[in-house]
Amino acid sequence: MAEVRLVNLAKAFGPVQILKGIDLTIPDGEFVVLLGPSGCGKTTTLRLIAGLEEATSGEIFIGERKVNDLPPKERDIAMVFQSYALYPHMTVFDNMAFGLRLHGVRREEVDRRVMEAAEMLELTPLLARKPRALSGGQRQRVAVGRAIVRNPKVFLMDEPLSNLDAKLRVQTRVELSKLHMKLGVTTIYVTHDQMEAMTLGNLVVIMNQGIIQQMGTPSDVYDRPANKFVAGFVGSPPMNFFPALVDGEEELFFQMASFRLPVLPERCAALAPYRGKDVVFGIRPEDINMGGGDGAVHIPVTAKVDVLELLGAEIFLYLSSPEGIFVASSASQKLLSQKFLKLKATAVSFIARVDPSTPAKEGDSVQVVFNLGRSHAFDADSERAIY
Amino acid sequence: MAGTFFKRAKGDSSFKRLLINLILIVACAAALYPVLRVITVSLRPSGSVFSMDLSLIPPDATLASYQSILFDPKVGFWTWIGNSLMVSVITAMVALILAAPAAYAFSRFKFAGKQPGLIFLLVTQFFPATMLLLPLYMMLIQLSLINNFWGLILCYMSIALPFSIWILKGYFDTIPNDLEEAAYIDGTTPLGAFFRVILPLSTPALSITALFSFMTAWSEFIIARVVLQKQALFTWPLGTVTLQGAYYTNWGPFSAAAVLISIPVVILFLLTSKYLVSGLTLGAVKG
Repeated sequence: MAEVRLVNLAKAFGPVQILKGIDLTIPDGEFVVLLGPSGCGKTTTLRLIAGLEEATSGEIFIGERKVNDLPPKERDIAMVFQSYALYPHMTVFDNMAFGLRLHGVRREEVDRRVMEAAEMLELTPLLARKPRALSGGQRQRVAVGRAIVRNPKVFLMDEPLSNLDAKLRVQTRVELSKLHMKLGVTTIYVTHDQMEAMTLGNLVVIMNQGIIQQMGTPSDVYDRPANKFVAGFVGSPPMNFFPALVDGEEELFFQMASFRLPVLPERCAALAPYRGKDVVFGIRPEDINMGGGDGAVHIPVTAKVDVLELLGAEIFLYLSSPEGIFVASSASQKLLSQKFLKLKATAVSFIARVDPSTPAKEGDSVQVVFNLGRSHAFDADSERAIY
Repeated sequence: MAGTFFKRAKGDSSFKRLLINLILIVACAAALYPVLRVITVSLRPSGSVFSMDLSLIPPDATLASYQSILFDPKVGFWTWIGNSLMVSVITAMVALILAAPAAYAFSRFKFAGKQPGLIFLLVTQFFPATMLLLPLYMMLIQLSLINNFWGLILCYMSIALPFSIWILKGYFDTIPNDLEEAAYIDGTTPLGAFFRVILPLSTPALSITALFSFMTAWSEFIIARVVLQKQALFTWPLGTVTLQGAYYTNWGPFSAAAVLISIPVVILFLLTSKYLVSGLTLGAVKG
């Protein structure tokens, strides 16, 4: 087991800068998930740690050792590939034993370790088979088995569940979690599936365009996103964003294109510097409820149901608030940006996740209330979270 | 591909299937008839070689021609076979030893001149061997390799290598990179990954390449005729020509020699045929 540390790590392929100098410390024994959209640099980061790519600049440490110049075999890592990469000409046993034999481990020890791993992963009856005679889930387990027999310092996993069907993916996810708890080896797991990231990782690192956007526990990145990208990327359906103007004198309001919401008193201090400026108001679909509100803090917003998706345990309402009432104080009106004036004329669409007993139908006009205590605000230019 | 073909064939009308089968029968007959005639002639007694009888096995069939080819010390059949086998096996082995790493480099590494190099290799295939005869002959004289097996092997290599490199490169391209990377992480060097993972997976392509190189050398006549002049060094294509006289050719032993000579190639083909089916990489990646 070992800590993994990346210092100002950069990677360019020709003129294309894939990683733009990232700093990351992965504590010993943690299960860290690198999460991000395609092309964000997460797989490149993993391949750099594995030694399959050479860094353009920066340093990689595994434990106390700088490994930049070491070949993969000397880094004491094991990797599970997205494609599993099992050797087709070898049996399951040989696939798992291959690395041990190359490291000169004694035959009895190889047998013992492979049998132990096979037992743990329920592969014992399959040891004599070739990979082509295995199902997708079995191949995936062999790939994991091949990694664990080596007792490496770090496990690297590159989207290992992406080729499995939905049911098997959930099952394997739980197995991987248990395996990590049992072995306690530092694990770096790459995925673009946020469900995997949130359920597997002790820590989640969100990446975009070669930069780390946020690192934190799953609840950190979900409840306290560092910026608009993280807020929009984590969560399904994603967070709703409304362009807004911070309005008011003593009391502050978010003035949207067609409705107006009060800023909670405890948030006023953070938003005060934005008075009269554009911000982005964010709220998750589950924080929008049906109902009339109390008329004070929880002001109802009227919206039309465009589409209704019933998922069994919940309903997604795709809503649009009609253009219309636009009330801004005279002081703010002078400060209104051109951008905002344009937005005023368009209807705003958003999604609410509501109880399946909700009587709404497509085409209905409904009243919804935003749970402002769980709302977010982002700087319109830098997209950083204001709160 | 094959699956799609048979699926489609199954759904075709009876007439279309009949037509396809008829064409195939005609094509098979055209290919097999000359071979069958050679077998027939090899079985005829020396007096009736030019008989107009069409039966496959003649009524007075005899193995006399085979006997004279195999056991007549004046013929030297075993010397020709030995020489041909030696030249062909060495050509096939050296072609594999040189082509496999070259093809791997072309398939996996980026280096200056990679694309022009590949095209150059392909261009060499456009020239028939007879066209290269004179320059090859002059080169071999300079190298003192005339009347020398190595001279002949060198010529055959120049024909077999470019084709072998292309075949193997095409095959290596289909092997996923992940397998080598997994091997690096498991503890091999790039060379180790080549020997332990890539080569064992490439038996189909290696078999085809070996077979092709062997065949190139086995049945070649023109270059051998120019390079080898000593009777003791003759390969079988040169040797069988000695059975033709200026005024009379003994067709019985000649045909018997032709039948016997095809046997090693058939055996080789049967031995390698199980590797000729691709699909060994099945199960390596994805589901």
